Amino acid sequence: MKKYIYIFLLTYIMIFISCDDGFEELNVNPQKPVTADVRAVYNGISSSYPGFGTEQTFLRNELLYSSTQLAGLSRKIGVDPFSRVNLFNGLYTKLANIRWVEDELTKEETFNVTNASAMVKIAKAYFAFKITDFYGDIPFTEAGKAYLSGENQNVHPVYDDSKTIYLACLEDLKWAVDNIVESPDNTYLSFAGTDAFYSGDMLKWKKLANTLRLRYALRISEKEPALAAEIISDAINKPLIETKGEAFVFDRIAANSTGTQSGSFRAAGSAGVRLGQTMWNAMSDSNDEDGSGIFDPRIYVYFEPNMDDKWIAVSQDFEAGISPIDEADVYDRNRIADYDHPTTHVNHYAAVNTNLIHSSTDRTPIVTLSEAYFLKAEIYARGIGVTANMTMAEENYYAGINASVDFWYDVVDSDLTVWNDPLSVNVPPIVTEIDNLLNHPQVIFTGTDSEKLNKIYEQRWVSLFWLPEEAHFLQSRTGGTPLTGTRGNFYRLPYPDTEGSYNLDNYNAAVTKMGGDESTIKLWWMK
Amino acid sequence: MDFLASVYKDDLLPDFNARFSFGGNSWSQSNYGMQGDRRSQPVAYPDQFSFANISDTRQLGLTESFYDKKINSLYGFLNLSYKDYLFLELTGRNDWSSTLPVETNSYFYPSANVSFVATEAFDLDSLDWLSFAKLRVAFASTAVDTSPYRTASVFGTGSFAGNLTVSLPGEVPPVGLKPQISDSYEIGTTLGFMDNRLNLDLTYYYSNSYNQILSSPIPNSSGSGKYVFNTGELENYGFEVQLNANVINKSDLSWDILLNYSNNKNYVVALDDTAEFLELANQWGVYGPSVKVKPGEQYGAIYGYDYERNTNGEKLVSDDGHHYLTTSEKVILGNATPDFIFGLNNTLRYKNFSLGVNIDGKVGGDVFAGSYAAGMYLGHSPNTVKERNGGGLPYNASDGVTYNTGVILEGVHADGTTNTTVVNPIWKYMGNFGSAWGDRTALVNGVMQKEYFLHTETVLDNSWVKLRQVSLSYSLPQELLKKTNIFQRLSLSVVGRDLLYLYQNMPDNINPEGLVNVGNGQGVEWGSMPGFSSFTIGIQASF
Repeated sequence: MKKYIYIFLLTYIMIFISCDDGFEELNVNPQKPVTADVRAVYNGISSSYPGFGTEQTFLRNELLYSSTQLAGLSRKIGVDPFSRVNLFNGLYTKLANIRWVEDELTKEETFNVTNASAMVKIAKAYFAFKITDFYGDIPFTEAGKAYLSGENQNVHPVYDDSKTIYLACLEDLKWAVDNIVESPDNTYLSFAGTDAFYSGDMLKWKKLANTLRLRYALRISEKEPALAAEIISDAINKPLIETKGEAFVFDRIAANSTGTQSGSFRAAGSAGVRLGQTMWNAMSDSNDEDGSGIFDPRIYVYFEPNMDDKWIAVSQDFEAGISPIDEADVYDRNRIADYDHPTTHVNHYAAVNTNLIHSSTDRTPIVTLSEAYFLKAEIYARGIGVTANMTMAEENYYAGINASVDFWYDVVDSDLTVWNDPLSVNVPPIVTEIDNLLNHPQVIFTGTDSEKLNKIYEQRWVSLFWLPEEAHFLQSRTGGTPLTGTRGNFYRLPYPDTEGSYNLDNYNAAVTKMGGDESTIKLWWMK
Repeated sequence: MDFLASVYKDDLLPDFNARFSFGGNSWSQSNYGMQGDRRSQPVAYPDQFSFANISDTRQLGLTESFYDKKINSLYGFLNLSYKDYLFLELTGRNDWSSTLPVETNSYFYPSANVSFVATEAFDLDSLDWLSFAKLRVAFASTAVDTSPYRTASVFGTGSFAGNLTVSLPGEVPPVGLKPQISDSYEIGTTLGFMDNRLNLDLTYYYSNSYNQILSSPIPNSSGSGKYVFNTGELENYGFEVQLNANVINKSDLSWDILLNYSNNKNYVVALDDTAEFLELANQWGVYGPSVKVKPGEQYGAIYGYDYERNTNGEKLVSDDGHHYLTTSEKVILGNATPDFIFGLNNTLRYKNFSLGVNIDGKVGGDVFAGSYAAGMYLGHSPNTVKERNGGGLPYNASDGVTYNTGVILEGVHADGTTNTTVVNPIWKYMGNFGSAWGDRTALVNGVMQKEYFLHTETVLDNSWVKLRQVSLSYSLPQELLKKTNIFQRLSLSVVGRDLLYLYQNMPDNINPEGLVNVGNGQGVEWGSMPGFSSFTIGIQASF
């Protein structure tokens, strides 16, 4: 009997001898990859260039349109918008992915990674500028390192001085400008296949990096004039964005992408964005409700008249806590099929153009051709890094306005089926319309040097309607953008509360250094 | 797949018995799930549950789920006994799990259990009150693996501009997964008195669990929000008493009492070099209270914003007298771990009637009473009407009329002067209880500053004693049943469950057991349903 038992046991032991046979294969996740291609990771990183959905609703519509006075408000959501903005978390997620790609590139042995490195540096700089310009001192050198291993890993990053971050990122942009190989052969690692913006055209990337140097050098020019001049004098003689095809714009059609801004505008409080008094004054020289005073053709793209076809602008002093003064859900999707929808097209104040909001051909401007011109106009007008030259300033000023009008009418032109109803504008604007704009007393480049400079600021501000954060930075830096009444006290975003909860020591050190975490605290480069 | 073989030998040596069993087991689970969401689209044909049966299949939100796991095990038991009073049981088990890396996927865990029956070993006839005495000591180690697919870090996928995007996962995965091991020690005794009419069972246990897979929240500036590690060490100990008494034992009348008592404490010994704490529960993110624990701390600590106090311990009130100043970070306001829990079961039998009365209770342990907070700040709670009914101080309202609705928040200003400002009672209730409302930044006219709501007043001791169940049953006498020739046995019963709280200290009739989480994260109540009683009437019949 016992003998049989032993045989029985032995048989089973034989079966179990390879007790973990096939286990590794069994434990492979069937849904998710364990390896990643740097090109696909890069594509995920670059998907954040156009911004996040919450930026439109909470940052732009709730805060920036009213603080920059690019538009006015007729109601507010009434919740704390700061806690809803995922810009901080979203961009740090991207930074972690950037660190991962950087790490992979250092290990790359087959291909030359110069161009890939340059594109990653541009992304890193762009995102870092965006976070630091909204928050001030931020974690940077130690940030985004949760996924690294060993000593490189860091889950409680210290905060870096915003100026130090500026210097590092400007240096990275310079590296990109100086090292990008415009015509790489096939020994170069290329992101061309997943480059939604330039399809791997490295000259365009070089021009973008160099134009960004102008943007950020100018931003610190009030507080660091010598440094700004040094960077600008180098950048101004290197390739810059100078055609609309070189602009850094997310074009949904070209990028084969779907989706519109409409969701962000339909949200409860966002539905309160209206044509404001300040923008109205910048585009019309009278308050005639029939629009007879309008001299800027971009108003027909940005806005639409009210339910009775009247141009009525809302005042700029709407504040949280005040009862709504125009509750129409004018951005509702039912207006796509029925422009004069009886329950939603009932707005008393002129609103953001419903076609702009619902157009699937929407273009998200990031760095436009008009911005490149306005940067140069200011640089020549003020003589930063170049000899002051009002002729050059004037040339770039007019080119900037033209490029902006052109950009917006390209948007209209690309989707005339949507813009047809009711299309009260000429596409593109006829020459006399452009001439009327450029020769209008409020626009024509005349007056004292300081008046001219303010015109540059005003026209750049008008052109930034779809990029209100840049208008906010322009306003906070120069104080030269149009205002009705006084400027509000919004300068920065308070840190997300997760920093105070999970990175307490570093957060406290940063807050102490900055003197608080309020939105009223000015950043180091602000006027 | 299973096998088990046993060999046994009585009287291996004089008075020694031995039994040895050896077995193996192969366990596997493989699940595949597919889910589609028709996203409010109409179905073409009713009652036909097929993905093809919706109008636009391109809109179908499809998700898949996978689960593949296999564990092979070999195990053995050895039971030794000497005479009838000394017993030793040894077990050993080795598992191989598919969810762990090759280096650590084989793990062995033993247990040993010794018991000694003193009443058998010694002649204790002189102690006629002691009928049974047993002492037991046990050690057991257990090891568990983890869920599938965690050995390799995976990436997330998506698309942008028509191309694939790949990104790092949402959490930092653990490196070098190991089995999670728990070593537990137990010492206990069972005593029987007076012919076992009174039985007492005492147990003290201690366990140490290490290599635990735990996660800790990390700041998003690190690039992730969650850090998972495999080095957690937890400690757990407690004391349990069970007393069983047969108070009356007559042929027509009997009364049995069963009393349970237990207290249990959990501590975090260690986490990981980079993880600062475990977050067990989190209500309303950083604005609400959270239940978290740091190394060295006891489980169940409820963190929230407390009054800011001066060096004399007085509460600080804002200069305008509107609200209390609060701590800049969350501090411990209480602990959800109860001092002890107990149960008392009575069974009384008289002739064919049987009455059962079960009572249980919890003593100590705090809770954040979210529903109470909401009732107070929204003015729904009866506690808030005192001022509104004119029981407050004279207060000059915005319409210029003076009403007796004002309050003064008791405390001092930052400069040390006593607060004497009469304010609208909304500040007393909404300001002090409005933790459900979020960050105060949205409230202070235009100036964005960080001030948090106060949680101190809503972290409350939650003790209760409950009449858990009363049952009454009646069995028809056998003589009666015999006459029917149908029934062998017939009984009627009425059972009432969750009848009432004999004691409870939660305000506004909030359900003391209506916690958001059970298990580790308890300590937060919010929006709980009221408790309800249930009654059952039953007939039991055998034929």
